Amino acid sequence: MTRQDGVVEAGGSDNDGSARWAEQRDDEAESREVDADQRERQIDARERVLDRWEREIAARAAALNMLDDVEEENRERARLRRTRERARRRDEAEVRRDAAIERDIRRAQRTERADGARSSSGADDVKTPTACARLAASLQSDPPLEQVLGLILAAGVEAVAECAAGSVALISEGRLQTAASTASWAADLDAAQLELDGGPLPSAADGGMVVTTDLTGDERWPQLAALPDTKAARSVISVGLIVAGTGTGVLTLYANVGGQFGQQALRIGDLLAAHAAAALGRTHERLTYDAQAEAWQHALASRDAIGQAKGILMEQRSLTADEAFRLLRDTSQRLNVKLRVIAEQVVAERRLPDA
Amino acid sequence: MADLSWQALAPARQRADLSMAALFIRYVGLGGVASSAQLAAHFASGGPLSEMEHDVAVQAINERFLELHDPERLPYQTA
Repeated sequence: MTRQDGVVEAGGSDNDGSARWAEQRDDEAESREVDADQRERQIDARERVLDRWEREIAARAAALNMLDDVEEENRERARLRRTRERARRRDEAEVRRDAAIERDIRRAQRTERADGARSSSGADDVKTPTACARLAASLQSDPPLEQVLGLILAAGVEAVAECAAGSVALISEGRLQTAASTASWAADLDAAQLELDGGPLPSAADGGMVVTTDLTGDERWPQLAALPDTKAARSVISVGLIVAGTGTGVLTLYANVGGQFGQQALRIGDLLAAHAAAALGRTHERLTYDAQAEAWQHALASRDAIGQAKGILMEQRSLTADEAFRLLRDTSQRLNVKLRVIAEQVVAERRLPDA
Repeated sequence: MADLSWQALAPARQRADLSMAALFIRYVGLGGVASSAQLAAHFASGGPLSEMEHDVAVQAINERFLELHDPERLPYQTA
């Protein structure tokens, strides 16, 4: 008899009811936590927008010399408070993720107890949540994308008995290319499908799941008949990875020859693709943030140089700020050079460049 | 006669392959002081913006054309 979280879960037939109750309790907890996660993501998003607005207003106020110290101090305090709140919510979310992993493991144990003499397909029911729980635990440290994709594929090969190898192809430089695979022949099969523009992989690029039980004999892709007989795999599942409404890649599972994917494998394929899409989404978000931060840094340096150059011209030629800007602008247009470059020359040489 | 030079901005921004967010960052970098909402309203429907601020936005688009080696340039409102 096992006691977990104060709940008795016994291994006899009399206790099927209690196992069902435990399952129901875990499902309810999961649903509550999904709701909480969603709520907190919305709050985080709102606060990030608020922070951005405030920074924008402060930057403009500073540029116009309208910055009120007291007001700015209040804003800074509010920003700090929001940052602390976000950190607290992140900690709470981490606790919820730990609880979710524990629930997955408990489910696996319950399935194992309830199905003492399992058939080989029954064994998948245990391997799946265990592999997913391990995957979820690995993802907590937010590893780099390549590592995440490797972990997802390893979980797929472990959880799906028929799966001999898996791959993820991502769009790079405008075309799909294999970014991760558990076997070199899987990457070769990816490349062959992409080169011949046929097969489940390219067909799933816009989203959804595409399945075949005979890669070289499927009448949808006659061009694949020319492939040498694939020793390693015939059955294939490909699932499109959609990030922010755009197809960004495809996750593919290849089955052993003679092995056909069952319903369980299709469900796991979907689950793994959801993990991969989430990891891609995070990477996309990070890259967008980095690019924006760099653009802002560049813009602020440019604004600074232009402000200084305007000041020099205003003083030297008794101009207004607008007149000084127009002078810089016209010089920029005449020389076909960016205004920032002209401004930097004015700052360095204290005069406009010669025409 | 009402000034309609704002109408040239949005199509030019698209030809210059600039998102509204990217344009706003460039506009601030050139010294623009309007908010992103004011700039968006000006581009979308001619919302109020001084001639000077309009010209800073024009400069941002023209500099993008310069990067793309595209000879197109939008005219300025102020002489």
